[in-house]
Amino acid sequence: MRRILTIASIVWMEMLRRKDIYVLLILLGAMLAGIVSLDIFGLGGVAGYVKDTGLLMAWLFSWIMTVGVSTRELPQEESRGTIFSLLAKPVRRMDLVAGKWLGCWTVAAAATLAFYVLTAVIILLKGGKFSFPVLVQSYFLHAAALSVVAAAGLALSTRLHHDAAAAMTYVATGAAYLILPRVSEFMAGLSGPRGIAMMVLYYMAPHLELFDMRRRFVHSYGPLHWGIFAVILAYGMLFTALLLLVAWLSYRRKRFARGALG
Amino acid sequence: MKQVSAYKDNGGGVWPWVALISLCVAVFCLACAVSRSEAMSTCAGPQISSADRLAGGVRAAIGGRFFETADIYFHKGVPHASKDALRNCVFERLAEAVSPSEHVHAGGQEIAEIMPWLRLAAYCNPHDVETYLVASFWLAGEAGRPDLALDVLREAEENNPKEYRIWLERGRILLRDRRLAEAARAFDVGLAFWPGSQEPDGEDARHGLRNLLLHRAILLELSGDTAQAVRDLRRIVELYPSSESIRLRADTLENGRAPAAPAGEILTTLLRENAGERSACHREDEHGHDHGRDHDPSRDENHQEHQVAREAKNVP
Repeated sequence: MRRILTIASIVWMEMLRRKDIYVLLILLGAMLAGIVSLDIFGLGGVAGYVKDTGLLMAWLFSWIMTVGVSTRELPQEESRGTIFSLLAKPVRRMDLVAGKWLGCWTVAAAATLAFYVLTAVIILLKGGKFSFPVLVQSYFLHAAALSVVAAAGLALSTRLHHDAAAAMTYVATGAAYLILPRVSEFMAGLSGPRGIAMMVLYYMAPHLELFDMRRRFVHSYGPLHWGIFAVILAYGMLFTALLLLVAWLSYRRKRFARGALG
Repeated sequence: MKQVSAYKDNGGGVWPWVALISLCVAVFCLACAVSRSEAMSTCAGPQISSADRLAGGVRAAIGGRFFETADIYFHKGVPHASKDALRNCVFERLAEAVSPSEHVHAGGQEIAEIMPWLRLAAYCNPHDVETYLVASFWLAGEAGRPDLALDVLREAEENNPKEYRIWLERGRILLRDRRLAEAARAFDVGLAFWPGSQEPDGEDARHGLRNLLLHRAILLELSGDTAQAVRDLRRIVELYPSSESIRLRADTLENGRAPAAPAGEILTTLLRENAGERSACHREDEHGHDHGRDHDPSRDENHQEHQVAREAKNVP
Protein backbone atom coordinates (compact mmCIF):
# COMPACT_ATOMS: atom_id res chain seq x y z
CA MET A 1 0.00 0.00 0.00
CA ARG A 2 2.88 2.34 0.82
CA ARG A 3 4.36 1.82 -2.63
CA ILE A 4 1.00 2.69 -4.25
CA LEU A 5 0.72 5.88 -2.19
CA THR A 6 4.32 6.85 -3.00
CA ILE A 7 3.72 6.45 -6.72
CA ALA A 8 0.50 8.45 -6.40
CA SER A 9 2.36 11.24 -4.63
CA ILE A 10 4.88 11.40 -7.49
CA VAL A 11 1.96 11.96 -9.87
CA TRP A 12 0.78 14.79 -7.61
CA MET A 13 4.16 16.47 -7.58
CA GLU A 14 4.35 16.23 -11.36
CA MET A 15 0.91 17.82 -11.75
CA LEU A 16 1.69 20.63 -9.34
CA ARG A 17 4.90 21.33 -11.25
CA ARG A 18 3.11 21.41 -14.60
CA LYS A 19 0.55 23.96 -13.40
CA ASP A 20 -2.23 22.61 -15.67
CA ILE A 21 -4.76 22.86 -12.85
CA TYR A 22 -4.09 26.54 -12.30
CA VAL A 23 -4.54 27.30 -15.99
CA LEU A 24 -7.88 25.51 -16.13
CA LEU A 25 -9.04 27.15 -12.90
CA ILE A 26 -8.19 30.60 -14.23
CA LEU A 27 -9.88 29.80 -17.53
CA LEU A 28 -13.01 28.63 -15.73
CA GLY A 29 -13.03 31.75 -13.57
CA ALA A 30 -12.63 33.99 -16.62
CA MET A 31 -15.44 32.23 -18.50
CA LEU A 32 -17.81 32.42 -15.55
CA ALA A 33 -16.94 36.06 -14.98
CA GLY A 34 -17.77 36.75 -18.62
CA ILE A 35 -21.05 34.91 -18.40
CA VAL A 36 -22.04 36.57 -15.15
CA SER A 37 -21.58 39.98 -16.74
CA LEU A 38 -24.27 39.20 -19.33
CA ASP A 39 -27.16 41.64 -19.25
CA ILE A 40 -30.32 39.54 -19.07
CA PHE A 41 -32.86 42.09 -20.25
CA GLY A 42 -32.35 44.00 -16.99
CA LEU A 43 -33.37 41.06 -14.80
CA GLY A 44 -31.37 40.23 -11.70
CA GLY A 45 -30.98 37.18 -9.47
CA VAL A 46 -30.98 34.71 -12.36
CA ALA A 47 -28.33 32.07 -11.79
CA GLY A 48 -29.52 28.88 -13.50
CA TYR A 49 -27.37 29.52 -16.54
CA VAL A 50 -24.33 30.12 -14.31
CA LYS A 51 -24.89 26.77 -12.61
CA ASP A 52 -25.33 25.03 -15.95
CA THR A 53 -22.35 26.65 -17.63
CA GLY A 54 -20.12 26.33 -14.58
CA LEU A 55 -20.78 22.63 -14.18
CA LEU A 56 -20.54 22.01 -17.92
CA MET A 57 -17.12 23.65 -17.96
CA ALA A 58 -16.15 21.70 -14.84
CA TRP A 59 -17.08 18.47 -16.62
CA LEU A 60 -15.25 19.48 -19.79
CA PHE A 61 -12.06 20.63 -18.09
CA SER A 62 -11.93 17.71 -15.69
CA TRP A 63 -12.41 15.32 -18.63
CA ILE A 64 -9.59 16.95 -20.60
CA MET A 65 -7.32 16.91 -17.58
CA THR A 66 -8.06 13.33 -16.56
CA VAL A 67 -7.45 11.95 -20.03
CA GLY A 68 -4.30 14.02 -20.44
CA VAL A 69 -2.82 12.95 -17.12
CA SER A 70 -3.83 9.28 -17.18
CA THR A 71 -2.59 8.61 -20.71
CA ARG A 72 0.70 10.36 -20.08
CA GLU A 73 2.02 8.68 -16.96
CA LEU A 74 3.09 5.24 -18.13
CA PRO A 75 4.41 6.26 -21.59
CA GLN A 76 6.34 9.06 -19.88
CA GLU A 77 7.99 6.66 -17.45
CA GLU A 78 8.96 4.45 -20.39
CA SER A 79 10.30 7.25 -22.58
CA ARG A 80 12.39 8.73 -19.75
CA GLY A 81 13.74 5.35 -18.81
CA THR A 82 12.65 5.74 -15.20
CA ILE A 83 10.49 2.63 -15.57
CA PHE A 84 13.60 0.51 -15.05
CA SER A 85 14.50 2.05 -11.71
CA LEU A 86 10.87 1.86 -10.63
CA LEU A 87 10.47 -1.82 -11.45
CA ALA A 88 13.90 -2.56 -9.98
CA LYS A 89 12.86 -1.18 -6.58
CA PRO A 90 11.04 -3.68 -6.69
CA VAL A 91 7.62 -2.33 -7.48
CA ARG A 92 5.08 -4.80 -8.75
CA ARG A 93 3.34 -3.99 -11.99
CA MET A 94 0.01 -4.00 -10.17
CA ASP A 95 1.34 -1.49 -7.65
CA LEU A 96 2.58 0.70 -10.49
CA VAL A 97 -0.77 0.62 -12.29
CA ALA A 98 -2.77 1.16 -9.09
CA GLY A 99 -0.45 3.93 -7.91
CA LYS A 100 -0.60 5.76 -11.21
CA TRP A 101 -4.36 5.43 -11.32
CA LEU A 102 -4.74 6.65 -7.74
CA GLY A 103 -2.52 9.65 -8.43
CA CYS A 104 -4.32 10.56 -11.67
CA TRP A 105 -7.73 10.16 -10.16
CA THR A 106 -7.06 12.08 -6.95
CA VAL A 107 -5.47 14.94 -8.90
CA ALA A 108 -8.48 15.10 -11.22
CA ALA A 109 -10.90 14.87 -8.30
CA ALA A 110 -9.10 17.64 -6.42
CA ALA A 111 -9.09 19.87 -9.49
CA THR A 112 -12.80 19.14 -9.98
CA LEU A 113 -13.45 20.06 -6.36
CA ALA A 114 -11.74 23.40 -7.00
CA PHE A 115 -13.94 23.91 -10.09
CA TYR A 116 -17.07 23.14 -8.06
CA VAL A 117 -16.07 25.49 -5.25
CA LEU A 118 -15.36 28.29 -7.72
CA THR A 119 -18.69 27.73 -9.47
CA ALA A 120 -20.56 27.66 -6.14
CA VAL A 121 -18.93 30.91 -5.03
CA ILE A 122 -19.85 32.64 -8.29
CA ILE A 123 -23.43 31.37 -8.06
CA LEU A 124 -23.74 32.78 -4.55
CA LEU A 125 -22.20 36.08 -5.61
CA LYS A 126 -24.73 36.27 -8.44
CA GLY A 127 -27.53 35.90 -5.93
CA GLY A 128 -28.48 32.37 -6.86
CA LYS A 129 -29.32 29.54 -4.51
CA PHE A 130 -28.61 25.84 -4.65
CA SER A 131 -29.08 22.72 -2.61
CA PHE A 132 -25.90 21.70 -0.80
CA PRO A 133 -26.79 17.95 -0.63
CA VAL A 134 -27.39 17.93 -4.39
CA LEU A 135 -24.05 19.65 -4.97
CA VAL A 136 -22.27 17.10 -2.78
CA GLN A 137 -23.94 14.20 -4.58
CA SER A 138 -23.11 15.78 -7.96
CA TYR A 139 -19.47 16.10 -6.99
CA PHE A 140 -19.08 12.53 -5.77
CA LEU A 141 -20.77 11.05 -8.83
CA HIS A 142 -18.59 13.27 -11.02
CA ALA A 143 -15.51 11.99 -9.21
CA ALA A 144 -16.71 8.43 -9.77
CA ALA A 145 -17.01 9.13 -13.50
CA LEU A 146 -13.46 10.49 -13.51
CA SER A 147 -12.20 7.31 -11.87
CA VAL A 148 -13.62 5.34 -14.81
CA VAL A 149 -12.07 7.76 -17.33
CA ALA A 150 -8.69 7.64 -15.57
CA ALA A 151 -8.75 3.84 -15.53
CA ALA A 152 -9.67 3.74 -19.22
CA GLY A 153 -6.85 6.14 -20.11
CA LEU A 154 -4.37 4.16 -18.08
CA ALA A 155 -5.47 0.86 -19.63
CA LEU A 156 -5.01 2.19 -23.15
CA SER A 157 -1.65 3.75 -22.32
CA THR A 158 -0.22 0.38 -21.26
CA ARG A 159 0.10 -0.55 -24.91
CA LEU A 160 -0.15 2.71 -26.83
CA HIS A 161 1.92 5.82 -27.07
CA HIS A 162 0.63 8.85 -25.16
CA ASP A 163 -0.94 10.63 -28.15
CA ALA A 164 -2.68 7.52 -29.47
CA ALA A 165 -3.91 6.56 -26.03
CA ALA A 166 -5.23 10.06 -25.41
CA ALA A 167 -7.03 10.19 -28.76
CA MET A 168 -8.64 6.80 -28.21
CA THR A 169 -9.64 7.65 -24.65
CA TYR A 170 -11.21 10.93 -25.75
CA VAL A 171 -13.18 9.17 -28.46
CA ALA A 172 -14.23 6.23 -26.28
CA THR A 173 -15.30 8.25 -23.25
CA GLY A 174 -16.88 10.98 -25.38
CA ALA A 175 -18.90 8.37 -27.26
CA ALA A 176 -19.84 6.67 -23.99
CA TYR A 177 -21.27 9.92 -22.68
CA LEU A 178 -22.90 11.31 -25.80
CA ILE A 179 -23.87 8.36 -27.96
CA LEU A 180 -24.37 5.42 -25.62
CA PRO A 181 -27.54 6.86 -24.01
CA ARG A 182 -29.02 7.15 -27.51
CA VAL A 183 -28.34 3.54 -28.47
CA SER A 184 -31.76 2.72 -27.08
CA GLU A 185 -33.28 5.06 -29.70
CA PHE A 186 -31.20 3.52 -32.49
CA MET A 187 -32.31 0.06 -31.44
CA ALA A 188 -35.97 0.96 -31.88
CA GLY A 189 -35.74 0.10 -35.56
CA LEU A 190 -33.14 -2.66 -35.47
CA SER A 191 -33.34 -6.40 -35.24
CA GLY A 192 -31.17 -9.46 -35.93
CA PRO A 193 -27.36 -9.30 -35.61
CA ARG A 194 -27.25 -5.50 -35.66
CA GLY A 195 -29.76 -5.31 -32.83
CA ILE A 196 -27.79 -7.84 -30.82
CA ALA A 197 -24.53 -5.99 -31.43
CA MET A 198 -26.13 -2.74 -30.25
CA MET A 199 -27.49 -4.50 -27.19
CA VAL A 200 -24.07 -5.90 -26.31
CA LEU A 201 -22.50 -2.47 -26.76
CA TYR A 202 -25.21 -0.90 -24.64
CA TYR A 203 -24.64 -3.21 -21.71
CA MET A 204 -20.85 -3.54 -21.91
CA ALA A 205 -19.80 0.09 -22.34
CA PRO A 206 -19.70 2.43 -19.33
CA HIS A 207 -22.78 4.59 -18.90
CA LEU A 208 -21.16 7.86 -17.94
CA GLU A 209 -24.45 9.75 -18.20
CA LEU A 210 -25.55 8.11 -14.96
CA PHE A 211 -22.93 10.16 -13.11
CA ASP A 212 -24.18 13.48 -14.49
CA MET A 213 -26.49 15.22 -12.00
CA ARG A 214 -26.41 18.61 -13.64
CA ARG A 215 -30.12 18.59 -14.50
CA ARG A 216 -31.04 17.90 -10.88
CA PHE A 217 -28.72 20.61 -9.64
CA VAL A 218 -29.61 23.33 -12.16
CA HIS A 219 -33.37 22.83 -12.10
CA SER A 220 -33.72 22.18 -8.36
CA TYR A 221 -35.15 18.69 -8.48
CA GLY A 222 -33.86 17.86 -5.04
CA PRO A 223 -31.33 15.25 -3.93
CA LEU A 224 -31.09 11.82 -5.47
CA HIS A 225 -32.30 8.92 -3.35
CA TRP A 226 -29.28 7.77 -1.36
CA GLY A 227 -29.85 4.15 -2.32
CA ILE A 228 -29.66 4.99 -6.03
CA PHE A 229 -26.64 7.19 -5.32
CA ALA A 230 -24.90 4.23 -3.68
CA VAL A 231 -25.79 1.93 -6.59
CA ILE A 232 -24.31 4.32 -9.14
CA LEU A 233 -21.15 4.79 -7.05
CA ALA A 234 -20.81 1.02 -6.82
CA TYR A 235 -21.24 0.76 -10.60
CA GLY A 236 -18.44 3.29 -11.05
CA MET A 237 -16.15 1.40 -8.67
CA LEU A 238 -16.89 -1.89 -10.41
CA PHE A 239 -16.10 -0.50 -13.85
CA THR A 240 -12.94 1.13 -12.55
CA ALA A 241 -11.80 -2.16 -11.04
CA LEU A 242 -12.53 -3.95 -14.32
CA LEU A 243 -10.51 -1.43 -16.34
CA LEU A 244 -7.62 -1.56 -13.87
CA LEU A 245 -7.63 -5.33 -14.17
CA VAL A 246 -7.43 -4.99 -17.95
CA ALA A 247 -4.57 -2.49 -17.50
CA TRP A 248 -2.67 -4.87 -15.24
CA LEU A 249 -3.21 -7.86 -17.54
CA SER A 250 -1.96 -5.78 -20.46
CA TYR A 251 1.07 -4.45 -18.56
CA ARG A 252 2.26 -7.43 -16.55
CA ARG A 253 4.04 -9.17 -19.40
CA LYS A 254 5.19 -6.07 -21.25
CA ARG A 255 8.92 -6.05 -21.89
CA PHE A 256 11.00 -2.90 -21.95
CA ALA A 257 14.26 -2.67 -23.84
CA ARG A 258 16.73 0.13 -23.22
CA GLY A 259 17.41 1.80 -26.53
CA ALA A 260 13.97 0.99 -27.91
CA LEU A 261 12.37 3.66 -25.68
CA GLY A 262 12.29 7.41 -26.28
CA MET B 1 24.02 4.67 -24.15
CA LYS B 2 21.42 7.10 -25.25
CA GLN B 3 20.75 9.59 -22.53
CA VAL B 4 17.15 10.09 -21.75
CA SER B 5 16.35 13.55 -20.64
CA ALA B 6 14.54 13.50 -17.32
CA TYR B 7 12.59 16.54 -18.40
CA LYS B 8 11.57 15.38 -21.85
CA ASP B 9 8.10 16.67 -22.47
CA ASN B 10 5.69 14.13 -23.92
CA GLY B 11 3.09 16.58 -25.11
CA GLY B 12 1.81 20.12 -24.54
CA GLY B 13 -0.52 19.02 -21.75
CA VAL B 14 -3.50 21.27 -21.46
CA TRP B 15 -2.07 24.21 -23.43
CA PRO B 16 -3.14 23.07 -26.92
CA TRP B 17 -6.72 22.66 -25.68
CA VAL B 18 -6.65 26.07 -24.03
CA ALA B 19 -5.38 27.57 -27.25
CA LEU B 20 -8.02 25.80 -29.33
CA ILE B 21 -10.92 26.81 -27.10
CA SER B 22 -9.65 30.40 -26.86
CA LEU B 23 -9.27 30.57 -30.62
CA CYS B 24 -12.81 29.33 -31.25
CA VAL B 25 -14.26 31.81 -28.76
CA ALA B 26 -12.19 34.65 -30.22
CA VAL B 27 -13.27 33.87 -33.80
CA PHE B 28 -16.91 33.73 -32.79
CA CYS B 29 -16.74 37.01 -30.86
CA LEU B 30 -14.94 38.66 -33.76
CA ALA B 31 -17.57 37.45 -36.20
CA CYS B 32 -20.33 38.83 -33.97
CA ALA B 33 -18.55 42.15 -33.55
CA VAL B 34 -17.75 42.54 -37.25
CA SER B 35 -21.28 41.70 -38.35
CA ARG B 36 -22.86 44.13 -35.91
CA SER B 37 -20.37 47.00 -36.40
CA GLU B 38 -21.52 50.47 -37.48
CA ALA B 39 -19.40 50.36 -40.63
CA MET B 40 -21.06 47.16 -41.75
CA SER B 41 -24.56 48.35 -41.00
CA THR B 42 -24.22 51.54 -43.02
CA CYS B 43 -23.10 49.74 -46.16
CA ALA B 44 -25.56 48.20 -48.53
CA GLY B 45 -25.45 45.40 -51.04
CA PRO B 46 -24.15 41.86 -51.07
CA GLN B 47 -20.46 42.88 -50.91
CA ILE B 48 -20.77 43.76 -47.21
CA SER B 49 -22.06 40.35 -46.24
CA SER B 50 -18.79 38.45 -46.50
CA ALA B 51 -18.53 38.43 -42.70
CA ASP B 52 -22.21 37.63 -42.52
CA ARG B 53 -21.80 34.83 -45.05
CA LEU B 54 -18.89 33.48 -43.09
CA ALA B 55 -20.47 33.70 -39.71
CA GLY B 56 -24.11 34.64 -40.32
CA GLY B 57 -25.32 31.10 -40.91
CA VAL B 58 -23.35 29.85 -37.93
CA ARG B 59 -24.69 32.64 -35.75
CA ALA B 60 -28.25 31.89 -36.77
CA ALA B 61 -27.71 28.20 -36.03
CA ILE B 62 -26.18 28.97 -32.64
CA GLY B 63 -28.99 31.43 -31.94
CA GLY B 64 -31.48 28.69 -32.76
CA ARG B 65 -29.67 26.36 -30.40
CA PHE B 66 -29.89 28.92 -27.59
CA PHE B 67 -33.61 29.30 -28.32
CA GLU B 68 -34.04 25.55 -28.00
CA THR B 69 -32.13 25.66 -24.72
CA ALA B 70 -34.61 28.26 -23.46
CA ASP B 71 -37.38 25.79 -24.34
CA ILE B 72 -35.52 23.05 -22.46
CA TYR B 73 -35.21 25.35 -19.45
CA PHE B 74 -38.95 26.05 -19.70
CA HIS B 75 -39.39 22.30 -19.40
CA LYS B 76 -37.03 22.20 -16.39
CA GLY B 77 -34.11 20.66 -18.22
CA VAL B 78 -36.04 17.95 -20.05
CA PRO B 79 -35.29 17.74 -23.78
CA HIS B 80 -37.73 16.43 -26.37
CA ALA B 81 -38.83 12.87 -25.74
CA SER B 82 -37.33 10.12 -27.82
CA LYS B 83 -38.61 6.72 -28.80
CA ASP B 84 -36.59 4.23 -26.79
CA ALA B 85 -36.47 0.50 -27.35
CA LEU B 86 -35.21 -0.33 -23.87
CA ARG B 87 -37.62 1.51 -21.59
CA ASN B 88 -37.39 -0.75 -18.56
CA CYS B 89 -33.76 -1.71 -18.57
CA VAL B 90 -31.72 -0.93 -15.46
CA PHE B 91 -29.70 1.84 -17.09
CA GLU B 92 -32.80 3.64 -18.34
CA ARG B 93 -34.38 3.45 -14.88
CA LEU B 94 -31.23 4.76 -13.21
CA ALA B 95 -30.89 7.53 -15.81
CA GLU B 96 -34.52 8.50 -15.18
CA ALA B 97 -33.84 8.65 -11.44
CA VAL B 98 -30.72 10.81 -11.90
CA SER B 99 -32.21 13.11 -14.56
CA PRO B 100 -36.01 13.24 -14.32
CA SER B 101 -37.85 13.51 -17.59
CA GLU B 102 -41.42 14.28 -16.54
CA HIS B 103 -43.35 16.81 -18.54
CA VAL B 104 -43.40 19.83 -16.24
CA HIS B 105 -43.16 23.54 -16.86
CA ALA B 106 -41.26 26.24 -15.05
CA GLY B 107 -43.65 28.63 -13.32
CA GLY B 108 -43.57 31.90 -11.42
CA GLN B 109 -40.08 33.24 -10.91
CA GLU B 110 -38.55 30.09 -12.43
CA ILE B 111 -39.53 31.54 -15.81
CA ALA B 112 -36.73 34.06 -15.39
CA GLU B 113 -34.24 31.21 -15.88
CA ILE B 114 -35.10 30.98 -19.59
CA MET B 115 -34.17 34.63 -20.12
CA PRO B 116 -30.36 34.27 -20.34
CA TRP B 117 -30.77 31.82 -23.21
CA LEU B 118 -33.21 34.10 -25.00
CA ARG B 119 -30.73 36.95 -24.42
CA LEU B 120 -27.95 34.88 -26.01
CA ALA B 121 -30.25 33.84 -28.87
CA ALA B 122 -31.05 37.52 -29.50
CA TYR B 123 -27.33 38.45 -29.44
CA CYS B 124 -26.52 35.73 -31.96
CA ASN B 125 -29.48 36.33 -34.22
CA PRO B 126 -30.99 39.79 -33.66
CA HIS B 127 -33.18 39.41 -36.74
CA ASP B 128 -35.19 36.56 -35.25
CA VAL B 129 -38.23 38.47 -34.06
CA GLU B 130 -39.75 35.42 -32.37
CA THR B 131 -36.98 35.42 -29.74
CA TYR B 132 -37.86 38.96 -28.67
CA LEU B 133 -41.59 38.21 -28.71
CA VAL B 134 -41.18 35.15 -26.48
CA ALA B 135 -38.93 37.05 -24.08
CA SER B 136 -41.30 40.01 -23.82
CA PHE B 137 -44.32 37.72 -23.39
CA TRP B 138 -42.84 35.92 -20.41
CA LEU B 139 -41.32 39.06 -18.91
CA ALA B 140 -44.70 40.81 -19.01
CA GLY B 141 -46.59 37.73 -17.84
CA GLU B 142 -45.12 35.26 -15.35
CA ALA B 143 -42.10 37.37 -14.46
CA GLY B 144 -44.35 40.38 -13.78
CA ARG B 145 -42.03 42.93 -15.44
CA PRO B 146 -43.92 44.71 -18.24
CA ASP B 147 -41.37 47.53 -18.09
CA LEU B 148 -38.56 45.16 -19.06
CA ALA B 149 -40.81 43.56 -21.68
CA LEU B 150 -41.25 46.96 -23.35
CA ASP B 151 -37.49 47.52 -23.25
CA VAL B 152 -37.02 44.20 -25.03
CA LEU B 153 -39.49 45.22 -27.71
CA ARG B 154 -37.67 48.54 -28.09
CA GLU B 155 -34.46 46.64 -28.77
CA ALA B 156 -36.34 44.36 -31.16
CA GLU B 157 -37.59 47.40 -33.05
CA GLU B 158 -34.03 48.78 -33.37
CA ASN B 159 -32.82 45.51 -34.87
CA ASN B 160 -35.95 44.82 -36.93
CA PRO B 161 -37.51 48.09 -38.06
CA LYS B 162 -41.01 48.03 -39.53
CA GLU B 163 -41.86 44.64 -38.12
CA TYR B 164 -45.57 44.72 -37.20
CA ARG B 165 -45.43 41.76 -34.79
CA ILE B 166 -43.35 43.81 -32.38
CA TRP B 167 -46.00 46.53 -32.28
CA LEU B 168 -48.79 44.01 -31.88
CA GLU B 169 -47.06 42.53 -28.85
CA ARG B 170 -46.32 46.02 -27.55
CA GLY B 171 -49.98 46.89 -27.84
CA ARG B 172 -51.00 43.78 -25.90
CA ILE B 173 -48.58 44.52 -23.07
CA LEU B 174 -49.84 48.12 -22.85
CA LEU B 175 -53.42 46.84 -22.83
CA ARG B 176 -52.65 44.56 -19.88
CA ASP B 177 -51.19 47.61 -18.16
CA ARG B 178 -54.39 49.55 -18.93
CA ARG B 179 -52.53 52.12 -21.03
CA LEU B 180 -55.24 52.17 -23.66
CA ALA B 181 -54.23 55.28 -25.62
CA GLU B 182 -50.65 54.05 -26.04
CA ALA B 183 -51.93 50.61 -26.96
CA ALA B 184 -54.15 52.11 -29.67
CA ARG B 185 -51.14 53.97 -31.11
CA ALA B 186 -49.12 50.75 -31.07
CA PHE B 187 -51.82 48.95 -33.06
CA ASP B 188 -51.94 51.87 -35.52
CA VAL B 189 -48.19 51.60 -36.06
CA GLY B 190 -48.49 47.82 -36.41
CA LEU B 191 -51.13 48.23 -39.09
CA ALA B 192 -48.96 50.76 -40.91
CA PHE B 193 -46.02 48.31 -40.90
CA TRP B 194 -48.03 45.23 -41.81
CA PRO B 195 -47.01 42.77 -43.38
CA GLY B 196 -43.39 43.55 -42.50
CA SER B 197 -41.09 40.72 -43.55
CA GLN B 198 -43.96 38.24 -44.01
CA GLU B 199 -45.77 37.35 -47.21
CA PRO B 200 -49.07 39.29 -47.25
CA ASP B 201 -50.99 36.25 -48.52
CA GLY B 202 -49.48 33.91 -45.97
CA GLU B 203 -51.60 32.62 -43.12
CA ASP B 204 -49.33 34.11 -40.42
CA ALA B 205 -49.56 37.59 -41.93
CA ARG B 206 -53.36 37.34 -42.34
CA HIS B 207 -53.70 36.12 -38.77
CA GLY B 208 -51.51 39.00 -37.56
CA LEU B 209 -53.60 41.51 -39.48
CA ARG B 210 -56.80 40.12 -38.02
CA ASN B 211 -55.39 40.42 -34.49
CA LEU B 212 -54.30 44.00 -35.10
CA LEU B 213 -57.68 44.97 -36.53
CA LEU B 214 -59.66 43.23 -33.80
CA HIS B 215 -57.69 44.79 -30.95
CA ARG B 216 -57.91 48.21 -32.54
CA ALA B 217 -61.62 47.84 -33.27
CA ILE B 218 -62.38 47.02 -29.63
CA LEU B 219 -60.30 49.99 -28.44
CA LEU B 220 -62.05 52.29 -30.90
CA GLU B 221 -65.39 51.03 -29.66
CA LEU B 222 -64.33 51.83 -26.10
CA SER B 223 -63.23 55.31 -27.09
CA GLY B 224 -66.51 55.95 -28.96
CA ASP B 225 -65.17 55.93 -32.53
CA THR B 226 -67.75 53.37 -33.69
CA ALA B 227 -67.47 54.17 -37.41
CA GLN B 228 -63.79 53.28 -37.60
CA ALA B 229 -64.39 50.25 -35.38
CA VAL B 230 -67.00 49.00 -37.83
CA ARG B 231 -64.61 49.53 -40.76
CA ASP B 232 -61.96 47.44 -38.97
CA LEU B 233 -64.47 44.69 -38.21
CA ARG B 234 -65.64 44.64 -41.84
CA ARG B 235 -62.03 44.29 -42.95
CA ILE B 236 -61.72 41.23 -40.75
CA VAL B 237 -64.82 39.75 -42.33
CA GLU B 238 -63.30 40.33 -45.79
CA LEU B 239 -60.22 38.38 -44.67
CA TYR B 240 -62.24 35.63 -43.02
CA PRO B 241 -65.76 35.49 -44.43
CA SER B 242 -66.84 32.79 -41.96
CA SER B 243 -66.41 35.12 -38.95
CA GLU B 244 -70.11 35.35 -38.14
CA SER B 245 -69.75 36.82 -34.66
CA ILE B 246 -67.58 39.63 -35.96
CA ARG B 247 -70.02 40.31 -38.80
CA LEU B 248 -72.87 40.38 -36.28
CA ARG B 249 -70.97 42.77 -34.04
CA ALA B 250 -70.23 45.11 -36.97
CA ASP B 251 -73.93 45.07 -38.00
CA THR B 252 -75.02 45.78 -34.43
CA LEU B 253 -72.62 48.70 -34.06
CA GLU B 254 -73.59 50.11 -37.45
CA ASN B 255 -77.26 50.09 -36.41
CA GLY B 256 -76.39 52.10 -33.33
CA ARG B 257 -77.20 49.28 -30.88
CA ALA B 258 -75.02 48.00 -28.08
CA PRO B 259 -73.58 44.53 -28.71
CA ALA B 260 -74.45 41.73 -26.29
CA ALA B 261 -70.85 41.36 -25.17
CA PRO B 262 -69.34 44.64 -23.90
CA ALA B 263 -66.07 45.73 -25.49
CA GLY B 264 -64.17 45.67 -22.19
CA GLU B 265 -64.98 42.05 -21.55
CA ILE B 266 -64.07 41.11 -25.14
CA LEU B 267 -60.69 42.73 -24.62
CA THR B 268 -60.08 40.83 -21.37
CA THR B 269 -61.03 37.59 -23.06
CA LEU B 270 -58.78 38.33 -26.04
CA LEU B 271 -55.81 38.92 -23.77
CA ARG B 272 -56.52 35.80 -21.75
CA GLU B 273 -56.92 33.64 -24.85
CA ASN B 274 -53.73 35.06 -26.32
CA ALA B 275 -51.85 34.26 -23.11
CA GLY B 276 -53.23 30.74 -23.16
CA GLU B 277 -52.31 30.29 -26.82
CA ARG B 278 -48.78 31.64 -26.35
CA SER B 279 -48.10 29.48 -23.33
CA ALA B 280 -49.56 26.32 -24.88
CA CYS B 281 -47.05 23.52 -24.87
CA HIS B 282 -45.94 22.03 -28.19
CA ARG B 283 -44.84 18.81 -26.54
CA GLU B 284 -48.32 17.48 -25.80
CA ASP B 285 -48.16 14.85 -28.53
CA GLU B 286 -44.80 13.58 -27.31
CA HIS B 287 -46.01 13.04 -23.79
CA GLY B 288 -49.40 11.62 -24.71
CA HIS B 289 -51.67 14.10 -23.03
CA ASP B 290 -53.72 17.00 -24.16
CA HIS B 291 -54.03 20.40 -22.61
CA GLY B 292 -57.06 21.19 -24.75
CA ARG B 293 -60.46 21.60 -23.17
CA ASP B 294 -63.75 20.74 -24.79
CA HIS B 295 -65.94 23.77 -25.13
CA ASP B 296 -69.65 23.23 -24.56
CA PRO B 297 -71.47 26.42 -25.62
CA SER B 298 -74.55 25.56 -23.61
CA ARG B 299 -72.53 25.73 -20.41
CA ASP B 300 -70.65 28.93 -21.20
CA GLU B 301 -72.22 32.20 -20.08
CA ASN B 302 -69.57 34.16 -21.96
CA HIS B 303 -70.17 32.30 -25.18
CA GLN B 304 -70.20 35.30 -27.51
CA GLU B 305 -66.98 36.77 -26.06
CA HIS B 306 -65.27 33.45 -26.42
CA GLN B 307 -66.65 33.11 -29.92
CA VAL B 308 -65.24 36.49 -30.98
CA ALA B 309 -61.90 35.78 -29.31
CA ARG B 310 -61.76 32.30 -30.80
CA GLU B 311 -62.54 33.58 -34.27
CA ALA B 312 -59.67 36.00 -33.78
CA LYS B 313 -57.23 33.15 -33.40
CA ASN B 314 -58.73 30.21 -35.22
CA VAL B 315 -57.81 29.14 -38.71
CA PRO B 316 -60.92 29.60 -40.88
